[in-house]
Amino acid sequence: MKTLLKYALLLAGCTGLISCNNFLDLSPVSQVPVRDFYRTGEDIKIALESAYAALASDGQYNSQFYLAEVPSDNTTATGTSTLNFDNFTVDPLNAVIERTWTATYQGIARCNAVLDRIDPIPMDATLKEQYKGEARFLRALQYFNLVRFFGDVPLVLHEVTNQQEAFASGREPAAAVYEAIIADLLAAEASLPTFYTASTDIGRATKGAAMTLLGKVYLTRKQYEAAAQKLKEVIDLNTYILLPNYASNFGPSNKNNRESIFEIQYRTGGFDLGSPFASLFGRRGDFIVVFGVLAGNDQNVPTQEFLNTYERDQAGRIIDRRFTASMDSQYVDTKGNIVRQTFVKKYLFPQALAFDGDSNWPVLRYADVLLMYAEALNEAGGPTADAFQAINAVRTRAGLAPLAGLNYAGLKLAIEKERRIELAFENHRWFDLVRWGKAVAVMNAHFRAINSRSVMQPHQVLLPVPQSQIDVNPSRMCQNPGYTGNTCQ
Amino acid sequence: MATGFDRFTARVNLDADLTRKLRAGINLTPSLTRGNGINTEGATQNDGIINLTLNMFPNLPVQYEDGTYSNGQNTDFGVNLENPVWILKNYHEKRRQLRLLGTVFAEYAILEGLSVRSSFGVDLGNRSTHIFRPNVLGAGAQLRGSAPARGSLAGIQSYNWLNENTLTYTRTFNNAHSITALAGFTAQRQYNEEHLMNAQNFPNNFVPTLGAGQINGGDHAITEWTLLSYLARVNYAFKSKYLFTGTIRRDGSSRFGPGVRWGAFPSVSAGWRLSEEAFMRGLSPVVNDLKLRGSYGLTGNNRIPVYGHLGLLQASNYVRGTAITPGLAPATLTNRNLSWEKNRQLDIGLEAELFKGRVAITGDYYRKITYDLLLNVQLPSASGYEVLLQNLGKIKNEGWEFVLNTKNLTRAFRWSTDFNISFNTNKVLALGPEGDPIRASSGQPNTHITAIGHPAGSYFGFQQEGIFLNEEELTRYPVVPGRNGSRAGDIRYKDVNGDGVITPDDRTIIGNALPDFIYGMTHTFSFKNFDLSVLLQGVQGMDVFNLTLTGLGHLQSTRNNRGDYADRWRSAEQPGKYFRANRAPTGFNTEVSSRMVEDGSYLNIRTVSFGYSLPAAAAKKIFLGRLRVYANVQNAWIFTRYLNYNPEASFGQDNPLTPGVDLGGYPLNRMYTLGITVGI
Repeated sequence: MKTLLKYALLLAGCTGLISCNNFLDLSPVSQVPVRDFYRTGEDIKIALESAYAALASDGQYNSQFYLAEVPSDNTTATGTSTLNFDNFTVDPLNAVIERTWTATYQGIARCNAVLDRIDPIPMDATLKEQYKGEARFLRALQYFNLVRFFGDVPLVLHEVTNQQEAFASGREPAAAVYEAIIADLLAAEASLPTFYTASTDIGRATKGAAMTLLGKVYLTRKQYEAAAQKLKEVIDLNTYILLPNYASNFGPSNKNNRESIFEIQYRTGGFDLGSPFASLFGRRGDFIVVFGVLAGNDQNVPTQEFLNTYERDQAGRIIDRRFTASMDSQYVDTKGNIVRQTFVKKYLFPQALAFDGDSNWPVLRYADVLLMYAEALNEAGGPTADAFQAINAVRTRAGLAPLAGLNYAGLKLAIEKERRIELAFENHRWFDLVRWGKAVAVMNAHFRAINSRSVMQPHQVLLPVPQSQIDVNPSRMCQNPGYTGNTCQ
Repeated sequence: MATGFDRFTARVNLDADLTRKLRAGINLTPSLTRGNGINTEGATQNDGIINLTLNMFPNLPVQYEDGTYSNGQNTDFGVNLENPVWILKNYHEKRRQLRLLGTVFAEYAILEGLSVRSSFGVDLGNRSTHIFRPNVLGAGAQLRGSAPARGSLAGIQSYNWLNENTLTYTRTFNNAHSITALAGFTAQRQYNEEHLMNAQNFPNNFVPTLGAGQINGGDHAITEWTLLSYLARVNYAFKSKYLFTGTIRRDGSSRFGPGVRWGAFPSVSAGWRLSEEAFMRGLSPVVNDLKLRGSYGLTGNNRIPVYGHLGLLQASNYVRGTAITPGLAPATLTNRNLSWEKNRQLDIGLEAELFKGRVAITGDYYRKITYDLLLNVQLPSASGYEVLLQNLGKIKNEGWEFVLNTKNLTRAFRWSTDFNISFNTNKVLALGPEGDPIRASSGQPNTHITAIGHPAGSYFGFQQEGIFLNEEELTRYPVVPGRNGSRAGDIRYKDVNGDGVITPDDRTIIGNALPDFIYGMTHTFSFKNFDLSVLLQGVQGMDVFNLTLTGLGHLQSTRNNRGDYADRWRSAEQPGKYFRANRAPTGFNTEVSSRMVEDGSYLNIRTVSFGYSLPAAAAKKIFLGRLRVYANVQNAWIFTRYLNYNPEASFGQDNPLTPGVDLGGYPLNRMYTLGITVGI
């Protein structure tokens, strides 16, 4: 009756609208409204965590191998919309490109929210600069992925707050997107620290990460001198080393090591924060039990042709130490039978729940820097001693003989092969093939070699824009040439 | 292998005239429901029983000789499909619900004809669901790897109170003018508190409660909403011949933001009893009662998520070392202008009673214009958001409804029939400032379109014209170009834009969820102490958007297809009904198209009920006022050409933009009831 009395009194006084509006003015108890957030440095820190989390989502790095490794000559995949990446039949209705587009822009929006709201917030100035640098690095990384997959894409650099803004963006030329990426990375380089000491800062973007990504952007844009200079600066930071053992780059106990420059962070334990790669790359059937993986899915399976590219001795034994760390060509099942199936080993992890591994995903590491540096030097000024030194550091660690005396073309080929093996199954091969202008030739030669009827056509260096995005905003969106639908003029 | 539930209910009503002018009362209805459940309609990876049963490999035994269960991993395809029989036998899902409905009221007669009434009602609920999914044991488990047992406990505590206060004035002047006037206000508040706990790594299957495992996650959330209403109503009647009602109500909802949360909804209605007029008197032996009525008014709708107008953040955590660091990201956009959806409805009806009440006819015409609709409008994903909830557009619903009640036999054997039928059309009149169609998605991207001139939530996809029967037809009709393009045996689609090739631009409207008409008929028979009633209910001309066919009709790989898809194209000589089977589909065969739009017309014998009542005198002998024994059958038989389980599955129209979809609905269950009704 007390409650009754209280509300009877409330209602008796409810003739003036003020108290009525109090009764109707409910704020969410268990969710934070946007209007109450982004007020303090701590809020920005929390908002920034979600921007990192966006990378570890389906549609971004959890599924990026479908777009960046499977189409290449390194691996194959199974499944309806994923097989399409393997045999070059991706159409605008493909579900994986839809997820990629949506998830990447969601991550970009989280960066935009931080960058648009951080300036007026009273907080430590150094930390503010660091947070801005991190957000700009993450935004640049995601736009770099988008522009390489889709070409011209909408360039949204501010938070969208209403319907008009949401429909305002059409496709911007790739050159404009690259300008924005470079501007972000230069700013990030200037404001990020070289390293962090606190354990709560593990995995944050660093100055070196921004510089490495910038070097990669320059290389992709064929600005070889700028690339060589930036990558040299990364080397001169003296922060990163080549680990003595290639295999020490991978596995749960080697996360964020001294060769690592930027990694996507995962953690097992049933928190929905585990890495899915062990489950995805595992083979089906008995493989499951052999490696403690719950259920394999036959994705990102190495091709037999790739197995043959590892250097062998005269007896035909593989001498490249990277082989056993990267993949295998057979395993022994629970009944003791040898099963001849290739599979990726870099992310294996025994896990209690499917898609809940503990391995990080390497986005940038120092071996990549050395190989990019060698390539930039060779492209800018031919096979210099520094170029040989860089590639040979990588080769020596793999147990291979150093290279010498190659001309420009010879070194170029050597670097291409070295990148393929050193960075296998880390989402570099497809981008490299497209960057070198070799995707069409290499893939069609590969298909001929394996007697496949698949053909890659020149327009397929870019993916189609998801049809849903053209449908929803037809006046501003159009399709890449060569794909069905309303192509851009 | 059973699911089921028990329910216990009690009811108490107490009314008392405390004084000559004051009346008060209380009623209480507590109830307890307990049940064993199972996830029925979910996806296969969430242990959805129906989808698992449909997808499970027919060549696997349910159990091996050693008693262990088979599983999709036991095939060459190694698909993650759990055995539905294993789930039904081992899955533990206990649901409990305790509910208390209670109302107290007081009514005071202030003056002759003027009274005030106040009531306060509560609805208290406490619901919990405990799930335990045991570890898979035995050889079958070894074949496929063993998942440790896991469990969860979810609960909801809720209360809803409603306070209604009205002042009523009733008076008749000069035996001719009767007036009832009412003014009042009501307030309502709903509070929900949900909690969830997850546990895993149970050491064994002996103890299913969560303490036996390791707690690895949980949730706790509170939501609230409030509603305030002011209302006033006047009824006026002149000698029961002319009737008039005027109403106005003003509603305030917490779901909308400041400044836009109030809506005013007036309505008027009038009736004219023609049969009371002198000029109708000659017809009175035939026409006992004839009434013409009409109404026009505005109503509102606030059915949106509780904090729908607010931009909210969602948790999106990240990992730093071994620590989990909290992250929050924008999930929805703020819409400060979001307000009531409004309906403007005109209704004109005629009621007639003929032949001394043996025949009653009602006919109604209505036209409802819904405007400022509350819609989740799809946004370009580059915005970072997928939808924005907003008021938009205008939709017209127009139709006729007829009811015919007849008493066919009225002697010892009685037979009466109630028949109703209604026709409705739906058309979008306006959308947004530029009139662009609104896209919506159900399971797949852009399955529905809402466009001006068409019904809201029309189905969207390719229009099938046939199958390419042979190579020659590929040169005669437009084809899907490219290496994955059309081959002989693929579906031949309509070239909607006439550009000579089939592309996603050729997708068009391929159907809608609106039936031509819906109807129902009840026959009631009684003879002596026996009674029988049969209720028929049907829908005609309704298209079901059967999107289960994206999986069960893909003729593609390692999963089951619906039986009729066996009649597929095999060669030019054996063309069949459906397209050719292929591991990697070509020619857009598996895209959403008109083959997934299936006729969902049905006639259902909804209820058959047969009873026997003990004669009053006999009942009295055993000290009872009434005793009836009865047998019921629900869903006795359904006549339909629809091949999936339930054409009504499509009625789940939570989102008005994506109606009509069947995504694996639970079959209609036929229910037999035997019962006794006792009156004291």
